[in-house]
Amino acid sequence: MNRRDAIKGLSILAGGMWLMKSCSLDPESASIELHNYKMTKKMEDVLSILVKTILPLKGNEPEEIKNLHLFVMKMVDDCHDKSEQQIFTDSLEDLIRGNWHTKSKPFITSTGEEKNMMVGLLNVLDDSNMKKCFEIAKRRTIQGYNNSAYLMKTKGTYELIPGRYNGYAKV
Amino acid sequence: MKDNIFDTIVIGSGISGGWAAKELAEAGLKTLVLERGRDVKHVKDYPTTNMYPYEFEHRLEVPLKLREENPIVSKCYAFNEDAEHFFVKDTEHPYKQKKPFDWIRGYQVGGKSLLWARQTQRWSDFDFEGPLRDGFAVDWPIRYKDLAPWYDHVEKFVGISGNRDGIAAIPDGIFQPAFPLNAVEEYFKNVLLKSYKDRHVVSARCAHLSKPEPIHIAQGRVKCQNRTLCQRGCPFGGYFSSNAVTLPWAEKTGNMTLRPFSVVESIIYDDQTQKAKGVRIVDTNTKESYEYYAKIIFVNASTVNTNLILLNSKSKRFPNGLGNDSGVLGKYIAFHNYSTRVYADYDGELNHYKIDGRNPAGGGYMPRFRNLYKQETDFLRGYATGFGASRSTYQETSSFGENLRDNLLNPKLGHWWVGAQMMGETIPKKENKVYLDLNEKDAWGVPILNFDIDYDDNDEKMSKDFVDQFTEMYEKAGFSNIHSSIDKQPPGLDIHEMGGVRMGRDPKTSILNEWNQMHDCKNVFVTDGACMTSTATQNPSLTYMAMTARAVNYALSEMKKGNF
Repeated sequence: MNRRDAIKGLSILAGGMWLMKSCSLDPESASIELHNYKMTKKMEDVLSILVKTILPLKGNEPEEIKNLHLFVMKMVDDCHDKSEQQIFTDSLEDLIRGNWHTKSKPFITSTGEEKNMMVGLLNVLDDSNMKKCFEIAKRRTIQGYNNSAYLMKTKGTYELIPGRYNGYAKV
Repeated sequence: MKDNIFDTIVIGSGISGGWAAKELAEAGLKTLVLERGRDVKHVKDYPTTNMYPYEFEHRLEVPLKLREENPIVSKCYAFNEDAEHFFVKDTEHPYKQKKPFDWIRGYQVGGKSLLWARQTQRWSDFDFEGPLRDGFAVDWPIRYKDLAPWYDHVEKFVGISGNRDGIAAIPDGIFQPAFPLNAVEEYFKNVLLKSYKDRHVVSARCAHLSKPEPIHIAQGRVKCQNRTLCQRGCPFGGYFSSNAVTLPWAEKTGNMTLRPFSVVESIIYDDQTQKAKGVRIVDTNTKESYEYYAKIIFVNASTVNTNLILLNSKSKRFPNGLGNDSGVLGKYIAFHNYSTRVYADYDGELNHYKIDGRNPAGGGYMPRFRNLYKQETDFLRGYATGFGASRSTYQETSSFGENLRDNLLNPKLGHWWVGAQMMGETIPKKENKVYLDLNEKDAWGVPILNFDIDYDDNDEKMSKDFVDQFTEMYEKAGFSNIHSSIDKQPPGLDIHEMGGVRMGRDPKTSILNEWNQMHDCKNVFVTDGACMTSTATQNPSLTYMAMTARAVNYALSEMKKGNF
């Protein structure tokens, strides 16, 4: 993951102000400041790739969508408890190592096809810490995507001022 | 006039305090309005009102730390990232719970009028006659005819949407066009009309402008824009709040002085004149005490805080709290039973309809039908119901990759479903009370309160009946997947706690007379929820507003006669 791109994208990510203040300049740690748990650069890289495998880009999305993993990290920081944060980071380490399944490989260096295969496994995994980590990542990715300026403004999925109510609208 | 001498003092700037301020200031009286929280000016102080979900740091979710630090207020449906700044945090003003009670508060100018659900229904004589007929509490000293002209008065100014439904349990008012029922709500309404004598679904009556009148334009308000973001404060003035309506109106007269950051510690009683002469406050910023004096005092601090102030207003004449010769002050607190809901699905020929836009009225309302004309069940009184049908889109999220992305971008239309929320009348009992702590005080030197309030057997039987009745009605309507929930939640989340300073005919068993005036301290009036002798089933704010306007009118006439 290109750190410069991630930081450039910070101001555009919705709620941009808080991320501008919190970007980290330590090359070994995550690119944004986290208050309640620690992520390494490698963990951030694997999360970024995981998010893009869960929800691939077409290529024309804005920075906000390209950096959805930052939203995932932020939400894990502020909206999950210590035990979930531990499960999250431990499992990201397992993803990096590639030792969580008989068919798994180190995630970052795998091919696109291998990444898809592994996310397919994660998607149907039995209940385990790795499954919990994946569910958090997927849930927060979907939440970030659905609540993005890209979807709401560009695609028009949300109206701030509907100015109407019709309980008999035709399907 | 000296800086600390006024004609009238209003304690509290919420939904009833704002009305007292408006009526008194309009009458030419120099009126001091004391508010314990910060000022919130209409529009200017609504920081989140125009924000999109993506502009919130956590997309409207309340972060874990805030939830863990505030387990009580976090239970409130409106406590989200967009409005949490209008709620009192749990540790801000601590209280003791002898029995669990979720005390939800809004300490800022406007109080909970910024946050309320805007639902409004008039009381009828089925409600005012309730205690007398069914043998609980004490007889109300008023009837519907006494309040009817004041409902008219406040409804015109507030702007209420609804239909003239002709239902005795909820008298018709002065309405702007209703927000109509949707296809499945209307269907259920018709099923009930065919199957029962007295069960009605009406468009929920609410304090939203569907067709503003000249008075509303003069207030600076326009038509509601269906945002359903009311808890943030509305830049259109589309719903009623003290901030948008009554306080600016009072301010315009030049007769209102608003003092935020003012915790009222007590009302000062003058043993010589046998009247209240003023109030003692603690400034929340400096912690210094000040006294303000006036001929008339209106206490509108919100039910429990009104009780607190009066209990703490001790004197030689009133050693147990102002006006408390009867000993009932702080007792007979009641609330609305909101613990029970019944849901179901609809699948039928109305599937070719869906919902477009948003309904600020929230859907339908069913007035009380149980024990209305006579006692018929094994529990006293009954329940109103918030009933609504909904149909939203959903996204198929079980896959991943391009498939997931396509599913997110192409949500599917879900099925219709219905929900019924019980709003049950509870019986005021002596044992349900609040009282001052003997040892602990809050940050401003005021004793903290103990809450000793609970449900009873009547509430349990009523909840069971609600589930039984709605199951039967849903079955008649052909709804499927009928399921209910009875939450073991403490009282309080209804945010309709009432009583403690009840009205009554007899000073031996009540604090206030028919004019909301203290029997034993004639220049003090209480017109917020504390005055309520019983709770009925209706959302109470409209009744508080009408009582306030009526009481002010009486106070003014007494003032003209020289009785203060």
